[in-house]
Amino acid sequence: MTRRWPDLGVLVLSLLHPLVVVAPALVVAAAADRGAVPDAEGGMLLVASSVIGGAHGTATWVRLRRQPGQGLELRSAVIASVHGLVVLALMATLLLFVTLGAYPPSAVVVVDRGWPVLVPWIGAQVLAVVLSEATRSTLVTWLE
Amino acid sequence: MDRPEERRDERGGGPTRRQLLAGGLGLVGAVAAAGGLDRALRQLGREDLVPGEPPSLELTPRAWRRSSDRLSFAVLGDNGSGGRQAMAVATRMARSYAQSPFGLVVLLGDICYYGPIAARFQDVFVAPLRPLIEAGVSFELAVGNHDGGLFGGDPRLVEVDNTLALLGTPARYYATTRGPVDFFHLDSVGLVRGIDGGRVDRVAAQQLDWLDRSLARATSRWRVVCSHHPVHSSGLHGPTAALVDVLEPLLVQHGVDLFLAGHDHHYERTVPIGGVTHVVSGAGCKVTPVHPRRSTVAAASTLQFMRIDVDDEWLDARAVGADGRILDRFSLRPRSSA
Repeated sequence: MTRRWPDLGVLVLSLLHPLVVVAPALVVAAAADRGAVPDAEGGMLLVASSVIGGAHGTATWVRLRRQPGQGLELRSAVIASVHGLVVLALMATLLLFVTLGAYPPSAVVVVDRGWPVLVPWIGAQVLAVVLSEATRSTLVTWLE
Repeated sequence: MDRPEERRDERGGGPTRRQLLAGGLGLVGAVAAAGGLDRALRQLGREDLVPGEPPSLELTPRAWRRSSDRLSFAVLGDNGSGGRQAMAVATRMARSYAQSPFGLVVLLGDICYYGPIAARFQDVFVAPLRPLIEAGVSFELAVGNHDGGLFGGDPRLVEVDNTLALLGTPARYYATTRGPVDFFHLDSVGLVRGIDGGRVDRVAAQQLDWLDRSLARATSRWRVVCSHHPVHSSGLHGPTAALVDVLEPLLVQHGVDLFLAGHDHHYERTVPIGGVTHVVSGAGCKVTPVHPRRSTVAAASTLQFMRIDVDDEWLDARAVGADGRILDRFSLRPRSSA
């Protein structure tokens, strides 16, 4: 007898992925708005985060929907996805602190060389996705 | 014969021990992560980590009016991020100079965040303030708790100390006279460290004695005391108990007109307290909440600097937002009869 993870659960878990990736860009945009700072660049950060988070969320949804009906594999996939989401949520914000605020501020170094701040921003968020995926796949292997 | 694991799967049976362990850890981790993420995002919203473009205006050098009975100056607090919010405020200050030049910027401390000042001085001070520096404007700094060991004999900071001295800051605490104003710049970090309850250590006592004597000797029309830590504040840090206990009586006794402070990242003006108007002008690059108290006349949680114009009869002050909006405007008459 097959079992499938409820569609709503898969959808919620998949939607949380882009949300935690986009959250830092929303916070930064809100801070600029509070300070009455023109924020053309912030719009680009939001778009970049949305693309990265949206792609990862879509991949998560497709992967969970394709799970075979065996209960063991379903549970492992969901548990691993939750761990991956926790890592993604923390790293998507904390890596930005490291990238933008570390000494010497790597983002300032990059920007001083003519690259937009988008470059270190995207780098930090892609790294967060990579760490999240590494956590998830390692845990799936261990659980099975 | 089927293995026990296969039979359990076929029946849709319970999870494995590993799944229970990982599931439990995942749940605990998710709860902990939610709390940690909330704090991290709140902190991200209070910082100014995204780099910004420094102002590129060309300003007419030394264009301000020089007079013994007039002075125009700007006030900027806690601006040391080098980020886009600091750049926005610095750009607005440069535009203010372009419209109506001033010869002095009073800095209320914390001119360097996110790293040692020896390494970041160019990014956080020179880059945003270059148009004003090149226009010949003087900079008088009241050191803040993030400014390291400025003027403390640290050999790594000699170059920064020398640059600040050239710009108008000679020591950790000092007095200057500009036009009709006597300025007294405090080392509030030393005061806060050295005052505990009713006890004042030797270093803090020396500074307080200096201030007492300097205020008593002041002869100019106006007395303005500048400090990083506020006496009164409705912001995140709130009032500074050590300064309320020991410093405020001196300010009242000597008829100080205006007490300028930073440290809290908002703008706030009080009613005259003991005759002294207290202003917090600490939103030079970061913004934190303010919850006005009964003594608060005006408050704003937004990026800002101040523009102050003084003559013998009036002190006119404006708090200016990064977008050019006037957040507060007030005028004072001098308390002294000098």
